[in-house]
This record gives sequence, C-alpha cells and structure tokens, in this order.
Amino acid sequence: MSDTAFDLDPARLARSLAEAGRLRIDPDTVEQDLARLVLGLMEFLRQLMELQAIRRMEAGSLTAEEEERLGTTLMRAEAAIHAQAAAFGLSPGDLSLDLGPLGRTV
Amino acid sequence: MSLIAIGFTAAGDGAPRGMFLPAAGGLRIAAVPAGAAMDRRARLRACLALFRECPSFLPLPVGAPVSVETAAVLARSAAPTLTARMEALRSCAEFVLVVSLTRRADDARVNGRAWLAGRHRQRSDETAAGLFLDRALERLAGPQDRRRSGLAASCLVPRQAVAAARDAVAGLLARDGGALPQDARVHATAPWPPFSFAKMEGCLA
Repeated sequence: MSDTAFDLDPARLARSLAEAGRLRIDPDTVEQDLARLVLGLMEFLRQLMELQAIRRMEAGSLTAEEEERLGTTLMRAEAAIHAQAAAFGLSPGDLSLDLGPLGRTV
Repeated sequence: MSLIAIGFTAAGDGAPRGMFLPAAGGLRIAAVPAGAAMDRRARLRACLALFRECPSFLPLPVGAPVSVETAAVLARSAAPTLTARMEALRSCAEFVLVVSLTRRADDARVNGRAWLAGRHRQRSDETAAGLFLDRALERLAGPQDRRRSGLAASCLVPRQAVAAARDAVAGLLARDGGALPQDARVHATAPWPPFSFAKMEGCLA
C-alpha cells in the first residue's frame, strides 16, 4: 500500500487516531497546529467577551453607544480571527479546542 | 489490492458478507477495496451494510480513510480495549438527534447593536434547543451512553429499541416542543453504527 498517501506510517496514523481531537503539535504541520491553538484561544476569549456584553445588555447597564461600540468590535474581531484562520487553511470549526474532561472551548 | 479498513468485528461473530482480515486478540478487520472507498460516503455505506449484518461491528471513523495496516497496529496495541468496547456496544445502535435553527444574524450585520442583539437571540435559541436535546437524551439513555455537542446529540439504544426511541422523541416534541424556537427543526435519525461511542481515542494510552 505504499502508493497510497494515507498509509505513510501505520504506527503514527494509529496513534493519531487514538489521540484524535486532543491538542497536538506535529513536526510536519507545526505552523498550522500553532495557529489553531493561538487562534482557538483568541476565539475563546472573544466569545467570553461576547457573553459578557450580552449579559450587560440584558441587565441594561450599557448605553446605546456602548452597545454599538462593543457589538462592532466583537463583530470585526470575529471576522479578523476567521480571516487569519482561513490563511492557515483552518475553518471556524477547527478553532474549537478539546480540553478533555473540561469539554471544548467554543 | 489496496484495502481500506472500516472497523473491527469479533472473530466468532458468524460470517457476514464482506472482506475480513484476521488481527490480534481474536479481532477481525473489516475491509473494503480502496478506490471507491476513498470517498467518505462509500465508506459510510460499507459501514451501514456491515452494521446491519454484524452485531459486534466496531466502526472506525469514516472521516478519513484508514489503511488495514493502521487498523492492524491498533488491534495489536490495544486488542483488550477494543474487545471491551466491542462487547459494550454489541447490538447497540446510535440514535442521532439534531436541532437546526434558521440563522437570522445575517440581517443584523448592519451595525454593532443589531449584531449584538442578533447574537443574544441566537444564544437564547440555542439554549432552548440544547435543553430540549438534554431532556430527550435523559429519556433515551444513561449518562454514559449519551452525549451532546452544541445542537447535535446522540445516544446508544438497543437495536430493537430504535422505533421506541423515535416515539419517545415524538412524544417529547408534542409535549415540550412549544419551548423550542419557532423556526427550530428536530431531526432524528437511526439506526447508525455507534460511531460516536466507538472512537479510538485513548485506546493506545
């Protein structure tokens, strides 16, 4: 099966299957893996800020101007993170990080 | 001939149609010829066909093709774990529930306030849909046999109980469906091979 791209190293692929979803930095894809980790954390923080903004909006503690500024900032931050992810060949779904028993970040 | 592994079966589990290679620990690797099986849907079809015939079928993920050599390494390194999972999942099917919501955020991208309000609405809708899924899962399976990620949920049910599970979801929808967002659609599909519960994570740990 040496002619098939998926069969370069069965032992390594078996380990990769066994570790699917966990945080991994592979020597061959180090840039993409690091980008996934960093952008995943950025998106996680952005979502926390979004939740806090929504809570404050619900509580009525934001002025209309503050809502506008926060909404615009969060909207553009999301677009920027997704654009950076796309530059590394990552989709928004790839930014969800598996923290094991703690669940996923996004 | 190149072969793609689609899962494992127990050696003593009769002789379902298909191609099988002996592996460590009394396991058999179920395989299909590469070529057409490089397509994900073809692998899924092969899994479904074997699942119907073989109560011990432990599927491999269909997202990417897995060679029989890789499957053999898994079997050699983790036969007891795989056998235990196979026995735990024997005669079980995966019941999948998905709630789809019509995205309404696009019309709110004109300004920051509208965007934030759209996200608020979206999160409220997702929370209501998630609660419905949690209630459905609690009815269908024990804590170890159910999982939810966002608006997609799945649980293990005995193969013979798929119709009853569907009825239970319909009943819950009739009773509690009013709490779902107006544009929510609940999709229940089964029986599936237990893909979400046969994952290979941790079997080499």
